[in-house]
Amino acid sequence: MAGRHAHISLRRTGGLAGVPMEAALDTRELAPAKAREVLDALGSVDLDRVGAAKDWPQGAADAFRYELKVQREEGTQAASFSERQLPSELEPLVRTLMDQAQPARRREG
Amino acid sequence: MPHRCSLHCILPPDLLFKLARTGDEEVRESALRALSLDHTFRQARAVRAARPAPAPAELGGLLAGVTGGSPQRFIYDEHESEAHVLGTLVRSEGQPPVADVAVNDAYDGFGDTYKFYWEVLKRNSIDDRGMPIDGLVHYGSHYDNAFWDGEGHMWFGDGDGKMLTQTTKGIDVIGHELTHGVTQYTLQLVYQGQSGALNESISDCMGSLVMQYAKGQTAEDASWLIGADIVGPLLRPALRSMKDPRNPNPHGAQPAKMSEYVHTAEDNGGVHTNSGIPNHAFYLVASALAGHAWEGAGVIWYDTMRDPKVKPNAGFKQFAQGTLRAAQQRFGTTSGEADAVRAGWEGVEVL
Repeated sequence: MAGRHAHISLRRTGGLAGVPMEAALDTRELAPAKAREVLDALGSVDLDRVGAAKDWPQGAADAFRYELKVQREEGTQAASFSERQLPSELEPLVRTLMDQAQPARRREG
Repeated sequence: MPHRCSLHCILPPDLLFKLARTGDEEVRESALRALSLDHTFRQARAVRAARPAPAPAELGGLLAGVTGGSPQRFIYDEHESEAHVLGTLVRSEGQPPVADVAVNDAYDGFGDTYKFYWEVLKRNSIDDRGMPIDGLVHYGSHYDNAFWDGEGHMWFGDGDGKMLTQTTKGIDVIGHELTHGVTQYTLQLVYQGQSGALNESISDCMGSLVMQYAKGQTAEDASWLIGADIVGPLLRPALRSMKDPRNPNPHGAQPAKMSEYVHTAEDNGGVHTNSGIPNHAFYLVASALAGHAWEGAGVIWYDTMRDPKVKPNAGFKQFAQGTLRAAQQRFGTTSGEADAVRAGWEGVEVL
């Protein structure tokens, strides 16, 4: 999905601590070169298939899980994936978001 | 005291057969006994190989009696890479300490965990067959986590300095992660919902005991905190509190009884949340029994981990019934241990 701007939110759950973390950014608030980098990275990945990649086997524990949401004028895309399934193209974006992430409330129900 | 013969431990079957045919009466008898044991061992191995995850409970003591007592530790430096491959091997079993403290802490923590399982529970490493233990330190950049990958490796992050600091510093954390491996080879608890919360809780219980055993603490001396040595300012004083699950830190409150159970789809159905309930039950049992927690609550929980009646999708109640059964079998139906176990689970509204 192409687009000039995007609002991106990321929620991380799991991990040894089990504390949810959240962060968001809007590409309009980034320097143009950085915004282009983020949008190119998103454009290079099929978000619908990210969660289908090879995951940790049964028996693994305490790994992180991510929920990524990308909102653009054309619509919203969401992806849920483990840290092992994180595509290398999205690693810089996830790192940027997690650097500013804050503990969030647990979602119940 | 039963007669034990070293023939049970070291000789290959061919030589045992030869001794059984040609040795004097005592040697012959020992060789035949050893062959019988060896056959049982091989049968067990064949059965294990045919199962997705091995370690039949009834063989734990037998196998532990055959070999064991020395860990096989391998520590790799991941150089802050997030690639899921082994990095540089920096310290192997028996090698002296290196300049990198994280490497030595991981090595020593593995040693403390192995020692606890071997000396207290007679378990020879994660699979009870002397499985090598791989530690991968300096994984990722500012990675605020440590985890067990289900493939024989524990991964250590250096922490971001806010949530977590250097994760190799936590003996209880290392015991926690390696116990996920033990669970993988015993109960195989499904990492979802109540069975997943039990999986997490068992790791906290054993992780806490690894630390208590290393420090020689009694139940009264222990802090019953998890991860106190690796938390950063956001999560101080600890990741979890088995004594007071509701107040471990400003962001990680857990329920302490069933009426507080949290229904959520996140984190595999709240495995790190609802583990507070069985954690607190363990604390109540250990506190009621007093003294060294590994001698009472610890062995009861471990017996339950090897109980074939406890299924991979076990809920809290099935596991609790397993601990009660284990306490009654090990200590007696009317023992104080059995009473403490029942009261512990009643205290968290599971029984």
